[in-house]
Amino acid sequence: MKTNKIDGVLVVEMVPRFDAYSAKEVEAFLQEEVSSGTDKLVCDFSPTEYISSAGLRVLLAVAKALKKAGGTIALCSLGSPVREVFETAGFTPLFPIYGDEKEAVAAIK
Amino acid sequence: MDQTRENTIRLPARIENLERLVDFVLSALRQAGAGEKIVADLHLAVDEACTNCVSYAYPEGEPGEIELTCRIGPNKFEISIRDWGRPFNPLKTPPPDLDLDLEDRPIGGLGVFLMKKFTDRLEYRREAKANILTIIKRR
Repeated sequence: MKTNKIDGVLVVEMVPRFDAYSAKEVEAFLQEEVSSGTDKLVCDFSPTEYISSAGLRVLLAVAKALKKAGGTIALCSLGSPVREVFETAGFTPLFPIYGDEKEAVAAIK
Repeated sequence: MDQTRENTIRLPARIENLERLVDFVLSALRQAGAGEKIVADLHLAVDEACTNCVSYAYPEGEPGEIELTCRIGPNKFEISIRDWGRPFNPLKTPPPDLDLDLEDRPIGGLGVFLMKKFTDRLEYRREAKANILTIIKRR
């Protein structure tokens, strides 16, 4: 997966189609990062056109693991179809969501 | 005269086939001139239904099949998802509690809820040893 480290924050680009198939890869990648000590994580949704409940499930699991480890997660660049799924599922209050990567990094660095 | 057009695809019920199943519906909808909002809503609903089916319908190691039928009528889109696995009525899944905070949110249980929210109607029936879930969305 495409990543970038800015000011100690790991920014990970999410997949274009975040469904049950791709979710396995994303989950394995992010959980590996959390268990190897990443404690500031930004999930960048700019490439993501679609997310299903399987994608939401991964974000919830990673956020829980990160919180347990004392880390912080932020999301950024949600397109409107993705945002609608977040809102419908009641996920917007669970995550800090920022307009772009720069804002997200500045908020949690 | 019935102007409803019908297309069907049948594949092994495996997660690797999820994208092909979803794309079959999306291209049928786009060909029929469905708007992007309807396409996006049905993408989610069909994906959730197919994901449940390929994940849970058949016992591990005994993969069966999944069949999608897309009926495009003058006033509505109807997509039926059929499997021949264990009887399961997804409409009986309890709704999630959306007010819980991060620690208390159970992981999972959102798929059927999203399907309901993004469609006009869902119907389930068990017929000839098959589960048939039909998703209905008005034009």
